[in-house]
Amino acid sequence: MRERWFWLCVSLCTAASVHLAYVLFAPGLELGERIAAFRDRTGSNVLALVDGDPLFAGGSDPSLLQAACLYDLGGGPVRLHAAIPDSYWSLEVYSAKGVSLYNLNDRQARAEAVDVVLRRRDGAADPEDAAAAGAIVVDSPSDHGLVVMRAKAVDQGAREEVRAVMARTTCGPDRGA
Amino acid sequence: MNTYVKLALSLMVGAAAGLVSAQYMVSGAAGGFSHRQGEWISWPSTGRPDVDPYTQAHFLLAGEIPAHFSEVTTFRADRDAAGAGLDGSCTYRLEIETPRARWWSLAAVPDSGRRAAPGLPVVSGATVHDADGRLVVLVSADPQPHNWLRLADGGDFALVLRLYDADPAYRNTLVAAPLPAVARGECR
Repeated sequence: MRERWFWLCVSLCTAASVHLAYVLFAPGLELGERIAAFRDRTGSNVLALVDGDPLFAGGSDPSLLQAACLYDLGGGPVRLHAAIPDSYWSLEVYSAKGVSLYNLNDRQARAEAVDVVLRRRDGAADPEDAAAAGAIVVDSPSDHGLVVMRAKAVDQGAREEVRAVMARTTCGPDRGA
Repeated sequence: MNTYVKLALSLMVGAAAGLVSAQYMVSGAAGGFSHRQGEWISWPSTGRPDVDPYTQAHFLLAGEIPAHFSEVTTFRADRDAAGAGLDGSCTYRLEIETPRARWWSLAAVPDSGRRAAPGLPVVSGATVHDADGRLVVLVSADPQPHNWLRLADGGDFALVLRLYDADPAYRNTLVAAPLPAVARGECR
């Protein structure tokens, strides 16, 4: 009888370990693979339109046009200069684990363009310099992450217009305003 | 029975149980991380900085990077009002009551496991009301009048309704969002 309880405990402990490993680690591994593949295609600190890209293949709204920049803060802060189209638009900064760090939409921005400076949370760069220049400063807990911009673009004409506006968006090392 | 065999069996049974239970909870079938409203299901924790691990796993393992909770409130239906799965060979009728949101989109996506591309969604502002003032969307692989949500192929599918910049009460499930019933019509 005691032996049965022992093997039952072994099974339960194994079940708990596998359950937690699946829930806590599998999503990050899955996202990490997709991000790595995206980096191979586009590079880091570069803006890319991601229409139909496998990075966003699952669950993307077809009525949105999306652009993304994989940021790498290893060389210092990264600046995103985002041009905002007339339609609905949002910008979101994600950690490397896919957790939202910051978001902004066109109504909140109330401008035709915004500057966002990404820096390490424990970085030495002075955020007041960037903020004083009118940029939004976002702290990242790690060197790597993702910035995604989404804009409403329902038909082909709208997509062309939004694409033209997004083409004026840049993402790269911060060299000041 | 040999001790090593017992160990191997215990580990295999445990691993299988752990994997099945994890997938079951990540799917939203249990655990209280999802919220069901009729045939529609939502994940209130989606896109929050303090998102729970099951919600995060649900979306990331499905290949999605969810938007911030304040931007998009998403509802998904993979069955009709009678509880049957959504069949691409049938026509479905949804009567949309305008939600409190800046805009919305309704898309049909292939059921999980299929890689067919989704068709063009129906989007608020690009819809027409009928003579009675109702906004009716017909979901079908065959051409339909007025607001037609075209199915890409005849396979099983799910409907995804996204509310952009919606009333916070919807995503907090404090107020039931006006979600349409998915009524099955004729099938081929």
